[in-house]
This record gives sequence, structure tokens and C-alpha cells, in this order.
Amino acid sequence: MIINPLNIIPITRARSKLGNLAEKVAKDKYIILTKDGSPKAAIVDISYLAHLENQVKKAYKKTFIDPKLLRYTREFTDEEIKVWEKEDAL
Amino acid sequence: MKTVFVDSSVIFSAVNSPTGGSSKIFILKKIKLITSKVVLTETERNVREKLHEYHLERFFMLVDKMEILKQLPDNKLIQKAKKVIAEKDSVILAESKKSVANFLVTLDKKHFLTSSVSKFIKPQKVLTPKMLIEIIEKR
Repeated sequence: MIINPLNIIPITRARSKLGNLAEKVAKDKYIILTKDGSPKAAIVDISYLAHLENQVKKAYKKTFIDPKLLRYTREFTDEEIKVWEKEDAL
Repeated sequence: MKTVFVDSSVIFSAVNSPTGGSSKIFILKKIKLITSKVVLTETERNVREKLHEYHLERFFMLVDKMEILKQLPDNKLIQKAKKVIAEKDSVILAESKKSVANFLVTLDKKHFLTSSVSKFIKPQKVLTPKMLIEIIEKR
């Protein structure tokens, strides 16, 4: 969504028409509420918020670990990590 | 362009420290860094177990700079590798040999920089990041 003056409203003005504003948000169309001229909060379609949360979870689930290959791997010891650090210094 | 098979000790160290030789090889030009799925599985497992969450982001960023080979562990080759290197390192050695890279880069000098490993992996050469940097910068 492109942020433009139409979807930015001061909190003080939003208070009286919260019901109407909640009706206006849908999918990626959200409303930004400002306080003293700065963005403070947003009114967001709840299903869009859930979608965003899922996207974040997916991003954090990113992994190159292949469970089938774990048996070929090992845990590094603290001792060898220290040796590597020493060897790696330029 | 020379291809360099990067082992888990190097990727792990590059994730752990942005100032060492391991990190520096990721910004070298004229070389192509390659690795395998086993190496990435081993490295990520250890990054998750031994380092902090922010290191994981750096790990993903470094992986983006490498080509990931589709090869799977070759059990026959691993058995052969066990004859020239400690069992714990046999998988990585076999993976590197299978990759047909020009160089294998590792920080485990004790186990990898030996004449028996050198003979096994020929014509590929085993180097530390520091040695690789010297070779590339001399060119």
C-alpha cells in the first residue's frame, strides 16, 4: 500500500470515527494514526495482520538444515572453535 | 576462474567473526565459492547451537554468496576418506573430493594439511583461508 495523506489520520480525529475507519480497512489497505505528527499506530485488517505474521514466521523458519543429512554432521567442540579463531586471524 | 570448496570450519568462523581470513574470502574476486548441503547442514546446526540468533542472519547472507552443490554424501568415498583422515573429518573430505573444485579451504590444519590427505584429494589442493588470500592477491 502506498502511504498517502488519505490514509494518515491524527489519533485525535480518529477517536470519534473509529467504527467508520475500521470498516474502511481491507486487505493491504490500512490506516496510520499519528500523534504530534508522527506515526503512532495503525488500523489494520485482522486477516492481513495474520498474513503478515505468517510471513514473518516463514522468514524465521528459513533453514539449510536437511534432517536426512544430520547423521553425517557433528557438533563442534569449544576447543576446536578456539583453534580456528586463532588460525583465522589476519 | 578457480573454484573453492568451503568447509564448515571456514563458514562457521566467517559467521563468528567478520574480521578474519574466513570472512575475507567471501569478498575476494576471481574465485567461485562452492559448498554442499551436508556442509551447510553441519554449519547451521552449530551456528544455532553455539552462536547467537543474529549470527544466523549472517550465515544466510554468506550462504547467498556461494553455489550450493546438489551432491549427496557418497558412502563409498567416505569409507575411502576414513583411511587418510580422522573419521570426524571424512565426510567433509569426501564431499570436497566429489565437488572437483580446485581448492578445499579449511581451518583444520592438523587433520587436513597432511601428505596423505593431499595425495587422496589430488589434483585439488588444501589451503587455509590465509593461504588462499595470499595466492589470489599475488595474481
